[in-house]
Amino acid sequence: MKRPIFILFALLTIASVILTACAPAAPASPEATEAPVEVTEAPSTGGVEISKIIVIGKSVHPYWSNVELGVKAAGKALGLSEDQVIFFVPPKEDVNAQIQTMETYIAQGATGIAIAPSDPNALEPVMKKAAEAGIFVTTLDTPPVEGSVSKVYIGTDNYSAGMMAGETLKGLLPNGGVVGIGRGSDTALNALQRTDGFLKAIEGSGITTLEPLNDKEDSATALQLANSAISANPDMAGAFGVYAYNGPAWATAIKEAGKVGIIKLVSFDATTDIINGIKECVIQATIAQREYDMGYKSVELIYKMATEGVEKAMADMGVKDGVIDTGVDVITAATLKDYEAAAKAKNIPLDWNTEGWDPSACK
Amino acid sequence: MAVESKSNQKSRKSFAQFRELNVLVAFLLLFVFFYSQSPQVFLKPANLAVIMRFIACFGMLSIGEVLIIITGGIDLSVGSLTALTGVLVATLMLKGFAGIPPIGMIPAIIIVLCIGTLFGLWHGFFVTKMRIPPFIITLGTWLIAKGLAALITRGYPIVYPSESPFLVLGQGSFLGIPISFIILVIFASIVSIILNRMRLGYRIYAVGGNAEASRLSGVNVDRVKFFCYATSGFMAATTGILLASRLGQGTPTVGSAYELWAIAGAVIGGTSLLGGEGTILGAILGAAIVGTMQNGMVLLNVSSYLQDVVLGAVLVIAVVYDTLRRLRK
Repeated sequence: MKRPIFILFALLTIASVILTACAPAAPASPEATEAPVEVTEAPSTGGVEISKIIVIGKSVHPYWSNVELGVKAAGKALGLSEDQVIFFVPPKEDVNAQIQTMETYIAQGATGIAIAPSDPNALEPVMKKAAEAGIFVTTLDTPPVEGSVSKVYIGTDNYSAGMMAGETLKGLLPNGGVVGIGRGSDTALNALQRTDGFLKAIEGSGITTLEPLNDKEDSATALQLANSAISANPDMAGAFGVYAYNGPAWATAIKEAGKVGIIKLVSFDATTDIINGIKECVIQATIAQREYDMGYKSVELIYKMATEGVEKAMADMGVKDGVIDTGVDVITAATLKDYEAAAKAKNIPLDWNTEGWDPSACK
Repeated sequence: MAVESKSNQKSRKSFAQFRELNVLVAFLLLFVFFYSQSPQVFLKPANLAVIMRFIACFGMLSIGEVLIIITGGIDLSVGSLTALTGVLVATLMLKGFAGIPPIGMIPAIIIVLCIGTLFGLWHGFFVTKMRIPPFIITLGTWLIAKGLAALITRGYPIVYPSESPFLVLGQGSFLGIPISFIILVIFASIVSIILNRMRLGYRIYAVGGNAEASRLSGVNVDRVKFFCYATSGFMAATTGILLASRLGQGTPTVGSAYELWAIAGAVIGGTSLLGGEGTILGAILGAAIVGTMQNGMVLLNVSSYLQDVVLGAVLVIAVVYDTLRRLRK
C-alpha cells in the first residue's frame, strides 16, 4: 500500500520541480508569469485609456533582452507604468506558448499586442481573434503572412540585410573566390531571406558559394561544420555567418586554420564574441540589427494608435507599405567605436568596451 | 527487458567482438569511400582532427548511454546536461555564483563533474527506489537542465578571454591528436575494462539480460543501476566542460538533440535497446561513423537538406541489418 503513495509523491515532486524550473526560464517577464487576473482599471493617459501594451518575443536570447530594453524605455518615455507595458518571451521558440500568451491578454483586454511570430501562419488565427476583439495588432522582427490583420511590421528586412552582408563581402573580395555560408536553419524565413539577399548581392561578382551549412541552431555543430568546410576548401576566400553564433564559429575555425585576414568574414548581430572577433581582426564586418528600436517603436506605435488614431499614428511613424524598416548597422573595425558611443547614448548595457584597443591594428 | 539470460559469459564476449567487427568494417568502408572522393583533403591532419573532435563529443555521451541501455534504461537528459554543465563551468570560473566570487579552473571543473554525477545519482534514485520509468525522469531533467541553462545565462553566452588556459582542453592537441579525443580514449578504456574484466561489468550485463534473475542470484541491482546513471551524468558533464572550452564560451545553445545522436551512435554500434547487449568500442565506432559521414558530406558539398536524409537512412539500415542478423542466429 505504501508504493502508490510514494509514486504519487514522486510525481508531484517532479511536476513541481519542472514547473519551478520552467517558470523562471521566462525571466524577461516577471509580470507575465504573475498572470494578473484582476481587470486593470485603465488609468487615463491624455484622456485616452491605455490598459496594457504587450510585446511578445521569440526566445530567451541577448537579442530579445535588447528588444525588452527598448520596450521598457518606450513605456517610460510615454509615461506608462510598469504593469502597462509587458514584455514576454518563451524560453525557446515555442509557437504554442505564444498563442497561449496572446489568448491570455485577449481575455484581459489589452490595448495592443506586438508579436514576433515564431510561425506566422500558426499565429494568424489568434492575431485575427485579437483584432476582432478591438486590440491593435502589430508584428515585429518577423513579418506576418500576406493579408494579415497585423497592420504594421516593424523590423529589419532580412532580405535587404542579407544583401548588405553580400555587398560588404563583395567589397572585401574584389577578386572573388569561394565563400562558405553557415546558418541555423534550412527552413526558418529569416535564415532563408538573409541567404537569398546575400546570394543576390554577390551575383555576377566572381564569388562562388558552397552549399549553406545547417547546424540546426547548435553552436558546437556550427564550429564543427566550419572546421570541415575550411579543411575541405583550402582556397576559401570568405565566409558569411547567418545567425548570431555562426560568426564566432567561423572565427574560431579561421583562427585554428591560421587564416586570419586571409578568409574574410562577415557575420550577423553584435554579441560580445562577435565584437571580440572584430577587435581581433578575424571578423571584418558584422551586420547589426537595431532590435532595441524594434521594441521601442512597437510600443510607441500602439500608444499612438490608441491615443491619436490609427491613420495619424501610421503617418507620424513613417509607415511605408505597412513596414517600419528599423535598418541595420554595418560594424567594422573602423566604425566600432562609433557604434559603442551610439549604444551608450541609448543606455544599452554592453558587455564589452574598446578601451585600449586600436582600430588601426586591423589594417 | 530481454527474457533470454546471457548466463554464458564466454559466448557473450565472442558475440560482442563479432558485432564490433561489422561496425568496424562499415566504418572503414565509409572512410575509404570519402578518401577516394577527395584524397587530397580527407586525410589531412586538420581534417582528421575535425572528425576526432566530433567523435570525442558524441562518443563521450555514448559511453554513458551504452551503460544505461545495457541495463534496459535510457537517458534523455545528456544533451541538456551538456548545455547546463558548460554554462556552469563558465559561470563558476568567470562570473561567480550566488555572491561567491569566480573560482579557479580545477575547482570549477571538479564541482561541475560532481554536479553532473549528482544528476545521474538523482536519476538512479528515481529509477531504482521510486520505480519511475527512466524515460520519464530523464525527460524531466532534460527540461530542467535546458531551463536552468537559459535562466543562468538569460541567453547571453559567457565568453572566455582568448588567452584563458581553460581553452586548451577543447582547442588544444597533443602530437596532432585533439586533447578531447585523448580524454575520450582514457574514459572509454576505463569503462571498457570495468565492463569486460570486472565483476561490476558482468553484473551490468546480467541486470540488463534479466534483472529478476540477477537479483535472485545475489546481485545488488539498484547499486548497479546507480553506477550506470552516475557514469552517464559524469560523462555529460565532461562533454559540457569540453564543449565550453572548445567554443570558448558557456552557452545554452548547445546540446539540442545530442542525446539522440548518442543513442544513435550506440545503436549503430550494436547496442540493443532491449538491454543486455552493447559495447563501448561499438558505440564509439558508431559515433565515428556518424562523425565521418557528417564531415564527408561537407567535403563533398552535399546540400544540408539531403544530409539528414542520408544520416537517417544509415540509422535505419544499421538497425534493420542488426535485427536480420539476430533473426538468422
